[in-house]
Amino acid sequence: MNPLRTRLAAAAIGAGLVIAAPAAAWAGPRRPVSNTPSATTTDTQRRDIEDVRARCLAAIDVRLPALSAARVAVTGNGHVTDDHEAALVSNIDETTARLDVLAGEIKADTELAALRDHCRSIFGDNRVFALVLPRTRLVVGADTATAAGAKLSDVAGKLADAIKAAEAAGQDVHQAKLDLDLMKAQIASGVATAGSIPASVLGLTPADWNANHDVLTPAHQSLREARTDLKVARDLASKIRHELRPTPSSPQV
Amino acid sequence: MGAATTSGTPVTTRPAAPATTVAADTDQDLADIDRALADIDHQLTDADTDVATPEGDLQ
Repeated sequence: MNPLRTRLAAAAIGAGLVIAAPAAAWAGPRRPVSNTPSATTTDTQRRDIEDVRARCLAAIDVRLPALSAARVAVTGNGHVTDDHEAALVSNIDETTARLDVLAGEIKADTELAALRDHCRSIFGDNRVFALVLPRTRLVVGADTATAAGAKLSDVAGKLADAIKAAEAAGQDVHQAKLDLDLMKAQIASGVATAGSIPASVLGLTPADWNANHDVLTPAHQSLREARTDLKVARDLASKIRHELRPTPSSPQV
Repeated sequence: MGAATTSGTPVTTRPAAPATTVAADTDQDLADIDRALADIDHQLTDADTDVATPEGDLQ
């Protein structure tokens, strides 16, 4: 099973709590499983509690390795700025610590109400898949885009020098100059858009996501736009290089 | 620098053409940029995967 399927399956277990728990466990026993009510009711409640406990712990178990993998990815990425890395790692570590505490509490719970509250906290107070992880991807992507923009600016400088040299050699560089201006504009747009992303998402909390499930959508869209701008700039760099090639009738030797 | 052909017509000799020089100077840069763009795609895909994962709201 690939990681996405594993994650979806495990998350579905958690999602199943929403549907199954109120009827099967939290709303109390409804199934007439025996004709000896008092003893069996207790047994049923115990089984229901253990079932909920197992599902809640499974929900934590799929989140902890995902957080750990994201932490490794952030600290190993050379494009992420020190400030952003510190903020992301802090958020990941705090989320991990809360889930560790919840796991201990869930293992120790003997009352259904307390177990239910702790299970709810896995999701509502942490939002690993909805906020913590995608926020991390977006900031890493934004910093990578910023670095790509800097590299593209270096290329634009080299192309500008080459255009001057070609012009001095008598080449027609009209189109190359126009494309270089467009390339610079695309770089500026991409860098500006990417640069706005980290500040827009680093301060978000699970409560923000609970209040607005689309809270990351603007940053996601911005990263796509920045990527598009930078790709256009990169393709213009290739076009300019091609335009600077001497034509067969060029006087160059 | 001027030189003369056998017919006596002066021609201009230059170092490597600008296009050749800039291509050599930017090949590695463009390769780095391509890798960065691919990494951005990877981050966007991972973010899509994250948000597609059911959170399990208890409502």
